[in-house]
Amino acid sequence: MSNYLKNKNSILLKLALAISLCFISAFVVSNYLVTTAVTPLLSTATDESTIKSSYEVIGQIHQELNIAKTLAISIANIASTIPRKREVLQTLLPKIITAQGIQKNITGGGIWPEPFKFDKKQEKSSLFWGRNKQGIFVPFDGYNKPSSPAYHNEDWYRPVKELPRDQVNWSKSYIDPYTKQHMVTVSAPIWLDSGYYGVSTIDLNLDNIITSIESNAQKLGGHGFLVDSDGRFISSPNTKFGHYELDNNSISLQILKQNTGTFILQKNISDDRGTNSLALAGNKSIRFFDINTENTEGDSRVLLIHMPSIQWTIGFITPKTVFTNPINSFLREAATYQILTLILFLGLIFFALEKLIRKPFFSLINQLKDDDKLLSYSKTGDELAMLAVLFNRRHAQIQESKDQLYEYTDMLQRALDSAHAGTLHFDVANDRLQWDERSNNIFDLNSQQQDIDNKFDLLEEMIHPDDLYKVTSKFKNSLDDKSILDYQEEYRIRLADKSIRWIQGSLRILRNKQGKAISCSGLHFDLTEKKLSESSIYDKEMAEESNRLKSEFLANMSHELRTPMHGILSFANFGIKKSETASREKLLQYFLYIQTSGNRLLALLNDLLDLSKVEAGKLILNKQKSDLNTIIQTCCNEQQQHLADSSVTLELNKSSGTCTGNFDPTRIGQVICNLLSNAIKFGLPNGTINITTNLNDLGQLTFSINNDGQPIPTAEIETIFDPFIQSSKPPSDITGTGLGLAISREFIEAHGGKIWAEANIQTGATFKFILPAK
Amino acid sequence: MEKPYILAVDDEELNLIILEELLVDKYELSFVKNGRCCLESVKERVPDLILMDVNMPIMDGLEACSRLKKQQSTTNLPIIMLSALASDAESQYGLNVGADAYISKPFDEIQLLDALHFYLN
Repeated sequence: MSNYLKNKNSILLKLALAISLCFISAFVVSNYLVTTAVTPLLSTATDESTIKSSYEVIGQIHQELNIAKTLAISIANIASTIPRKREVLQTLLPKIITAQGIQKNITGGGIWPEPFKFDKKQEKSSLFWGRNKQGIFVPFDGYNKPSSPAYHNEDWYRPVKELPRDQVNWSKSYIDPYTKQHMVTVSAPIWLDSGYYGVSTIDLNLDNIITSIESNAQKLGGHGFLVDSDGRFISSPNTKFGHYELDNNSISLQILKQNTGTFILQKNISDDRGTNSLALAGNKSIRFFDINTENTEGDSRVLLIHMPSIQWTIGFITPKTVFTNPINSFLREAATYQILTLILFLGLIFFALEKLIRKPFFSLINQLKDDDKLLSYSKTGDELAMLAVLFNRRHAQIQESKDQLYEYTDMLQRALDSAHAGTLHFDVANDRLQWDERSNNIFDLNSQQQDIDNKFDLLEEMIHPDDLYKVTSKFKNSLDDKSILDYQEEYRIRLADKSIRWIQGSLRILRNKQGKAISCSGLHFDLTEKKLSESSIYDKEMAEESNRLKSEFLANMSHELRTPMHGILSFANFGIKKSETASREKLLQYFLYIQTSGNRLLALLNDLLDLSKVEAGKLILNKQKSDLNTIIQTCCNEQQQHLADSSVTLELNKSSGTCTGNFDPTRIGQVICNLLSNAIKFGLPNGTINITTNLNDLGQLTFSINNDGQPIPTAEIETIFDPFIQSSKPPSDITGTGLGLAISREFIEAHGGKIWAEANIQTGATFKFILPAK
Repeated sequence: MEKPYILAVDDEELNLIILEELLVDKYELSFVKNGRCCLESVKERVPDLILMDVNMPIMDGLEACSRLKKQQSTTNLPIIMLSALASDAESQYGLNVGADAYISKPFDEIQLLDALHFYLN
């Protein structure tokens, strides 16, 4: 497993991390959902249980108050029947109160005729009962004495006058000056038939109520309080609750400890009158809100319940921890289980990854480390099995290709061996030339030279200086010219032993899309043997050609010799045969013909002599100041008969000035006669021959002759000047030794001039020569 | 009896003169200077025999001989080649194009006259 834990790119690692991340995310989300869903539910439940226990307290309070109320009304009813029976009432009333069974909380009661204060004159007098030190009801008569203090406020007394029968008025709570107990007094009107009489009162000790509030608050884990209708605390929370701020409903609340020992719950801190404090509960009889306290209790939750019958408000302050602790403990528990589940799942997943994926994967990977092995995979049908099968198939294909490649490479090597060709590769960007062992052999490199990585410099050193420029410039051009695909050159190299070797380098140039050369690959061949054999073949061919030309020459000579020979022999025979019979004129004619033929024979021999002289380098020029046009005229006169026979028109375009130069007039005359004779022979009957002469600005005499006959084939432009060669067109119409042009060329070149033929289909054949005038 | 009519074709004037000297007594002679003229002359009047040189301008003797032998009307016309080209190979060229005999120059009078006699009788 550690293998892929070390590998940052491992798919398995990524997969494991991804799955873990998914589970952790799911855990976080579910935890959040549980928290947000469960908290209000639990909170509501807690609120409801708080309300329920509070109502129990309220019920208890109401029970106590109802007893006091009922007593006050009962006493009022009795008093309305017998108002003035003072003794009766004094006996009766303690008994009524005691009979209720809860007399412990009833601390006193009385009947107060109006005006209730003592007056000597008045007939009516107040009755009052209170408990003595033993807790037994005894009548007090002190109120009817002028010296007794009248501490009862009229507030509890006066409003009763407005009340109908059976209705009561509750006083504000107060602390009894004698017993120092929290008290409240309930008053009921006493109505006689004659009208209003006074008030019946019952004093209720609130200790019981306060105790039950305190105990309930303790049960809830907080503190309780009871607020009077004027905002004074009847029952106060512990004094350490000095200051609360209510964060809800923008109400700030301060609980202040008064000098008198009572507490006032104020709506606003600034409102020190405290009169609005009951508005805390608003119109709702039950209300929850949260407060922040500065003391150690932390955040707290306040429940206020308003009691409309007596205008009291009962409240419980409970630290929030009381509510949140069970929720948190529940959530903690839930989270613990979730984490355990998560760990279990992750464990299972890692187990599955290990078992199902990693092991088979690494089994294949380990097999792959062995290069030539096929993959074996124990299971069938799963993805890895498919992978293994496909791999094996591909492996087989690769093996096959590899074999083929080996075969091809082998074939190529053998082919290269058989061709004695060396490979080379040139990297253009790095100017780097490399080649193989065969090239090393071709270049006959020593071991030190073979080790040179870049053969380029070596090559430049070895190439024959005469070939170096040709090779390098052509190679550079080939690289630069985008249209060139292949480079091929033959060149010589000089080996260490000074011998020469012929090399052929062939390269194919690889270019990028822009046509820029990137590299070249190709072959070296050793052409030395081929060159040698070519050279010997060439020599042999030359010898054969020479032989052939000689044979042709001899055959031609035979013909040319036979023709005049035929004339000489025939006419000599006629003369001999007819020497007796023939006339003298006839015999003379025979001799003339023999002479003509002999002259022709002589001319031919002279031609041969000329040529052999020139070829042997023994030609002597008799240069003298001569006029080219004069010589032309002489030639034309000599050829007059020929011209007439062929009906050829001769046009002479002489230059305006003289065409005088320093040359051998006989030789140049021969040349011109020869050219003119050729022009006639090769021209059309009835055609035209043009001859043009000039002395040009370069001081050269120029001569041009043109007929309108068959043009000279381009291929023969040069060869017709060779000895024994005649133009092939027309091949067999023309007689001649084939020496004329050869001799002409020798003569012109001996003068330092030049003679050439021009082929022009439009204008027939043209021969030109130039001669230096001086 | 009328003399047989022989057409001699040669570009060398001197050769024609020799033939005239040799044959004028026994034969009616006509001379032309190349193969083309020979063909034109044959069109006008078919000779009994043609004596044909080989090397001539415009049209040589081999070509003229070949053409005549291919024409229906002259296929049986005897043609004797007379040429200064004397080798066996050259005489074989002449026979190949249909010539009836090939005589090299300089020739023996008797040989020519025998040949004429053979082909004209």
